[in-house]
Amino acid sequence: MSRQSAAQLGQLFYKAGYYCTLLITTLWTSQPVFAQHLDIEVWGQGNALFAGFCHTSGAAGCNLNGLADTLGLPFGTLPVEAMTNKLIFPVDFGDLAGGNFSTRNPGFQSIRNALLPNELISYRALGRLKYWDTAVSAWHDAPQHVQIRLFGGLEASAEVLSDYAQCAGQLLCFSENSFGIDGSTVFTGTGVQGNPELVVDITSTSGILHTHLSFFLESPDGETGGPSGAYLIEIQLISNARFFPSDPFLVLLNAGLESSEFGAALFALTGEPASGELPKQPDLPASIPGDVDLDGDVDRIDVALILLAAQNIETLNATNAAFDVDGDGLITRADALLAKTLCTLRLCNIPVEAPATALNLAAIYDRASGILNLNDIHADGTHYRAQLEKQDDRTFTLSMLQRDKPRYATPAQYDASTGTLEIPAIFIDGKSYRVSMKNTGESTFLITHLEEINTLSIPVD
Amino acid sequence: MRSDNRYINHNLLSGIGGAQQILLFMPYIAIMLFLTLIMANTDNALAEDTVHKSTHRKASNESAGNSPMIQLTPINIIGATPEPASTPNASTLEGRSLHLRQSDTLGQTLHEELGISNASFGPGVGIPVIRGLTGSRVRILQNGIGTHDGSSLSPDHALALDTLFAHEIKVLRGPEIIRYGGNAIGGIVDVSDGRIPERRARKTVSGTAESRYDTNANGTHSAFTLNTGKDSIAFNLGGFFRDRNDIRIPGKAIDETFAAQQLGLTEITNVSGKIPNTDSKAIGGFTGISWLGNQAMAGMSVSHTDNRYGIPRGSHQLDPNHLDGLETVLPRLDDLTGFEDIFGPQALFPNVRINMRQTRYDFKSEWYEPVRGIDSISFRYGLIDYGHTEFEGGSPFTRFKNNVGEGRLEIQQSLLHNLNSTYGVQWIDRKFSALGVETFVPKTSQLSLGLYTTQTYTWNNWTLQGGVRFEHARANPAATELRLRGSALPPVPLPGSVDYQAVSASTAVQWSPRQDVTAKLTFNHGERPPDIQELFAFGPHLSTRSFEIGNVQLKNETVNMADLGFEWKTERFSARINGYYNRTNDFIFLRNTGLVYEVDNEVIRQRCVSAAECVSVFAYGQRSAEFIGYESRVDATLYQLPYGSLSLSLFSDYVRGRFVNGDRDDVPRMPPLRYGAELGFGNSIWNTALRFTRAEAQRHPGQNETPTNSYHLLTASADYQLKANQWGDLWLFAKGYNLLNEEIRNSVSFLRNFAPEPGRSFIFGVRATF
Repeated sequence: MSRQSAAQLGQLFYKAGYYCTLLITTLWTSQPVFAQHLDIEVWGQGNALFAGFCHTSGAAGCNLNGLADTLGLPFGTLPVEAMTNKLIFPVDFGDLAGGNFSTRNPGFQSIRNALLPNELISYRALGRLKYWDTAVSAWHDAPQHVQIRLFGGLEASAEVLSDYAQCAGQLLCFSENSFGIDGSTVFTGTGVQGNPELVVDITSTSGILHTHLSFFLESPDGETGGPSGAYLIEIQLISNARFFPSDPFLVLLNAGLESSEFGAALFALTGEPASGELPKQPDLPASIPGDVDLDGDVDRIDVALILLAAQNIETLNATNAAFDVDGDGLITRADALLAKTLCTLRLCNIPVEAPATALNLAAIYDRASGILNLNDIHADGTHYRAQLEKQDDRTFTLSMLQRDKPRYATPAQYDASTGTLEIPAIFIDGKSYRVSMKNTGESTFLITHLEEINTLSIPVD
Repeated sequence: MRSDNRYINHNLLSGIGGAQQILLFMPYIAIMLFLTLIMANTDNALAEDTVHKSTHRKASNESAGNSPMIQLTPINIIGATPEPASTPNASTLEGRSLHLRQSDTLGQTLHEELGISNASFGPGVGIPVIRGLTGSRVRILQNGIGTHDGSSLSPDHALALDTLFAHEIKVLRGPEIIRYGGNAIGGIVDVSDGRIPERRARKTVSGTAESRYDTNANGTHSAFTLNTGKDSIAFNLGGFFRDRNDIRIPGKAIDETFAAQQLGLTEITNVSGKIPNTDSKAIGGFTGISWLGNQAMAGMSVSHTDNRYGIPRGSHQLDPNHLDGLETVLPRLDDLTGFEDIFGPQALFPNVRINMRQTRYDFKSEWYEPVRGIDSISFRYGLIDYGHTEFEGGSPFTRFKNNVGEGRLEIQQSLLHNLNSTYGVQWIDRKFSALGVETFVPKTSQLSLGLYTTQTYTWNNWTLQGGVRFEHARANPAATELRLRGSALPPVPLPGSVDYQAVSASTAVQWSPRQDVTAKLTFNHGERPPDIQELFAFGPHLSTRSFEIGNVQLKNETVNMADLGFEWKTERFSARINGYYNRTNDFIFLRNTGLVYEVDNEVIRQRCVSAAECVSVFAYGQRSAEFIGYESRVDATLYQLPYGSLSLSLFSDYVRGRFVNGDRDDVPRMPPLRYGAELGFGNSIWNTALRFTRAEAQRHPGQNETPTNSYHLLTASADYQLKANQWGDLWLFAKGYNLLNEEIRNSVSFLRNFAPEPGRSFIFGVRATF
């Protein structure tokens, strides 16, 4: 290498180091004073949905053990409401860009295979908005001049129209050819207003959920802001693929309180540490080496988490086995370097066309459980959702049927006069099939036709 | 002639490959052969400097008589004064003026022209805006055939055209729908570069070589052309290379006030003194061959352009607090040594770059006076293979392709005394596709066919012009439905095809009461069928920070424009002014739905916490709009001194666009009022000029847009023509741009708040002609 090249290389490294330092400084200085929050881990078991605290080691929003220390609570205090045993997820308004009265936390996430591929998760608002007034140190219904507005996704709204003939040619619109529908949920001291159910997100093809909603503290006129204090709302999660929603849980939002004051608001709910047990969460799936956040791939967050664990000289145990990528029994920088070579993040790979989303096809079959979820059946002008259980290769029995809103552009069609059920597409292990079934009586359906179909909208050349 | 045909076919086969593409050529090859074989019988000696022009030739009494059909036309050489425009709303940039203004992009080259602005998206992109209209409303042509790149689809897509080869750039302001179709509803820009030889070689080898250096960003531009040939065969060859680093600017790249107010970002990654990721590199070349007979010619060219440029940060990844969770972990790490490649600035805030390439095959054939009364029959066809790939952090994430064939067959006749007529057919066959992350428009094929005629009647000092065009356009999306990646939205069905019929008409009356005075009144009624993104867009479009929803029931956009122009030209004084009113019914625009799309979560909602992470949801709609404006220029020779002449030019232009109904809000991204003066001193050997332009603040930016401040633009130029020896000439030139080093936020640019126009720069160059 010539001296000139060496000098240029040195200059390059100098610049890179300078920018790295600048960037880290920026990141560091941009962190708010109090930004600890707890994210919501979501998983499903059979026909039920669950919500709990996340446990990804080192990840933001998952440090349950550090919460009590941060808020000055007695050791062992768990954020669980003593009276109802509901989980509490504390967050802070103003923890992200967007102002002091709005936040995207708590996040919603799931580990790989904890949910079905393309499972649609929504929230349902419950109860009343509670307010912690530091002057009286007590919880009560929020005053009339303040409310919390939660903006969810509109995708599964009954007002969504995807037929351009109904939208004056527009490829997508909401009913009345207007986007003016109420796409938010309003928590007030008197109850829930607006739309009580909106979309959280749809899971990936690996069954992974990672998303955020938008919470705003505002006046009834919609002007952002409100009195300082702590606010409490109650929601539960629902799935289009499971019958039972999650248990209701609470989101505790800090609006300008010091950590100790916010801790007092939380402590008033939890009481003294008790020996209550948190709901049992799913066993950690066998992960690929380096996938420490268990989202099904190795990306930069995994590498950063391993680096952090190595920096903190964490010892290896059953819960962080994935950190030891090279299998030498230690968590070191070498594990992070090895994880980097396994990187499968977006910027390492050419993106590929995502497969068709099963929920858009309104039907999912889980081969493991043998359950066929029909999320939208149209029969004589009424829409239903149903579950069928596999009996043998061609026979299913109806295990659940309930009336529902029209949710999909291509629902299954049931003709009661002939007993035929036409399902445009069932998503099974990454493939889609068109299926015809015949009602043979006694809630039994026989497959009369099955063919694989290609649902990719844009062919890859 | 057989050998010529074999040559053409051989190049076609080797250049294209694939039976399908060969089939595409067959009809055009057949037409070419047919015309060439017929015309071969007319092959006679040709005056060496005869130039065939494919554009309309002026009707004259002589043309119908016994005088030769081929007329001698002056050849433009360096230092020549450009000819004045023949009509007030048209102009031609050529010769010295063109070479001095030539820049990286067509928009930057033309931005000093009256009524034209430059829609930049960083220095790598510059699209001409004519009277406030651009994109699908202005046709950019290369030798009469469209460039057919991706520029109408998105403002961050550059034109696949380099002006370094240009001999002449013609600008027609106002609708030119009759000959060029609905996409010329706002006007045309036609860049002529002589890729297909149009005259016989005067010398064994002739050509040009040019090199220039720009102090701003160390820009280098080099180009050459070679012309050779023997007898009736002429051969052209050309190449260019362009290279530039990040553009230098005064002050900061991102307008921090905008970022705070509009995006809620108070901590952004901003840079002073330059705009990162605006470097570019382009290379290209062409070769052309022609057979030139006395009354006919046929030729073809093959050209290729490769342009790689960066997009200034502006659409996303501005917020250092949002890195998909990394922002919470990185600050806790003490040592990132060895991980700079994934945690360094480029990895965390990856650059977006575009690699564009285009290969063109152009064919041209003309036959002059095949029978008495028919002035000419001309045929043009261009086959364009365009594609570009957008990269993020070095990885490709979207690939666009546009394969287009455009042809035109035109007959000009003057059977009747004083009446010159044109009859033509024009067709465009387009196949568009996009694959990857940002595929907001589905794979679509598009076919349009236009039949037209223009008539020009001359009577004493009056000229009456008229034209009518019938156009049929069809768009067929390849998909039957669209799905949004990662979203729970239901699939969106698409129609099998959409069809449009459009009828356009134009009339004009021109009066020349004196030889040096011309007045012209034009009325245009033109219809533009919607473009494919207006019909079928569905998804996030990050470069415009929008989520677009198409509308398959859009109607034709209909323009009705009245244009009154006046021109007075004497030896020492000339004046030109145009005033126009354009009422466009069913103007297609993006209507803000009030919803937002959260890019990371892929969710549509009414409001989101971080504006930087959300884009607005827009739906294509229609609403009548009106545009009113003027262009004016006065040129005067103040003093004629022994060593040269002192001249002064005063100029101004303005356009205001508003929607007609409702709250009459402004059409977004209109250029501001401009006025200024240019003082020149020089003669036929050397010239100097100082030009000052004042642009007023744009206080009518349109809904959801931000206003821009006024600015002063001072430029200076000097050039000297040197007769080197009998082998050729040298032309030396220098230019200073933005000498006041002002921060210029361009109101027609989508990216004006993220990327100001270039700062002070000096350009030095030399051009050799031999």
